[in-house]
Amino acid sequence: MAKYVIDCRGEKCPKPLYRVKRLVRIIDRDDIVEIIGDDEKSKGEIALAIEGMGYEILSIEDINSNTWRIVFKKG
Amino acid sequence: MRIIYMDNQKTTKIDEKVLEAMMPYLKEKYGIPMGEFGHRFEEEALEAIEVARELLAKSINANPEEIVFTFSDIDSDNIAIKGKALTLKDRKVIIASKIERKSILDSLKFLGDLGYKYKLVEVDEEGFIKLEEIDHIAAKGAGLIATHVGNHEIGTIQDVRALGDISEDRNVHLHLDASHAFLKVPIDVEKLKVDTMTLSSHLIHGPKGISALFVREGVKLKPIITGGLREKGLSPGEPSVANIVGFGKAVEIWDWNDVRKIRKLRDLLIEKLLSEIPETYLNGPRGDKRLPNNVNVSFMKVEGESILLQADARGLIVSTGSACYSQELEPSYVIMAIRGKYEFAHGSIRLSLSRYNTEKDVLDAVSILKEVVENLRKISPL
Repeated sequence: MAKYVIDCRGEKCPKPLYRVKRLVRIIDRDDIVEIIGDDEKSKGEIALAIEGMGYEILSIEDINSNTWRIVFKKG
Repeated sequence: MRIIYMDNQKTTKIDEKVLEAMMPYLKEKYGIPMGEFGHRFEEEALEAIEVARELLAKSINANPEEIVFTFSDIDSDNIAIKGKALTLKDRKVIIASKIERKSILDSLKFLGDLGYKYKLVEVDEEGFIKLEEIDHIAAKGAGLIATHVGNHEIGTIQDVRALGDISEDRNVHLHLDASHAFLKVPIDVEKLKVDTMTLSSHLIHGPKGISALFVREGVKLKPIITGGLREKGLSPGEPSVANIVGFGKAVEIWDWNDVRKIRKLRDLLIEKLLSEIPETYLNGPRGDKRLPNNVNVSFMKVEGESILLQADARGLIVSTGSACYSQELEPSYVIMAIRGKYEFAHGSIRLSLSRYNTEKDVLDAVSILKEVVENLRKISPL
């Protein structure tokens, strides 16, 4: 089980979601992905897409007033 | 995850029979024709190309000599539009509509930089080109009308017979991009007064990297690509024999019963989307004036690209005319032209069907879109 980090701070929709989807295609089952970003719209859409792909969201949290972190497992 | 592919106006899956027909020309029969006479490899390549040319010609009631193989639909439009424009000594005015494909619009911009004038006429709320505007401009002296048979985004089938009449009455060259309409609606060039016409392979389950241009006998085009005499000097690169053979095969095995089936699925899809997802609007016309494989809808309060990505995550492949580039949401220019409102243009998606789609695909697609649109609306700032 590997862990990957996508730091998409400074990037706007739809780039962060594209990066997540591209990574998901090449990683293994049970790998963990952590995404850090500051685009509020991407936060909601990434969470929806992860659920849509049937993967488990481990956590969604706000690190500070404009930065968030989502962690999920490719199930 | 089950994948439902509904982006068949972007490209289609190659038919197995097409692939089978192509394989010998990728493996053993790898020659290319060099002229009327040649060695056996050259002769078999020449024969294969001419058989495909005959199949294409027959499908639109043309003569084989009127079919030019090119390397893409974009090439075909460029060769016809720029090639015709370069022969114009006066009347250097070109007419198109606001909802053309980029291959037409960008060709016109290119010619505009060279001093040509071009006019983009309005369309109505269903995407029908205002023919009286075309006639008005043509009457004042134009050299070329460049437009489409079936619209790439909203599926509107133009009144090409009337366009042909204008072209004949005003003595203006008519180029039609039939990429999306070829083998979706019957085209007979004996009856249709068209001078040049683009025909697509990869939208009819043929291979990519090959297209065709119908050039009516007697029509003169200035070659825009130089370096050889092949394909009347208009598309002179080394021919992809396998692709040409595949294109011919895709035409040969085309079954119009599939078109009837697709049309029924299209109507079911439209009905379900409009009835099951609130604030959903159909873009383009209904019935026989719409391409049989095209559905385009606008979902209010959501963005097309968000829908595309969320649908893809759930296995449904669709496309959108709007895109989010560099933090700016770029609306679909086609939807803007017919609706005039950003909210319609931002949330539009195109679902395009093929013979491989089923009723289950349609019902599942609606179910996925319903879920996606509902979820996106909950988090939408719009």
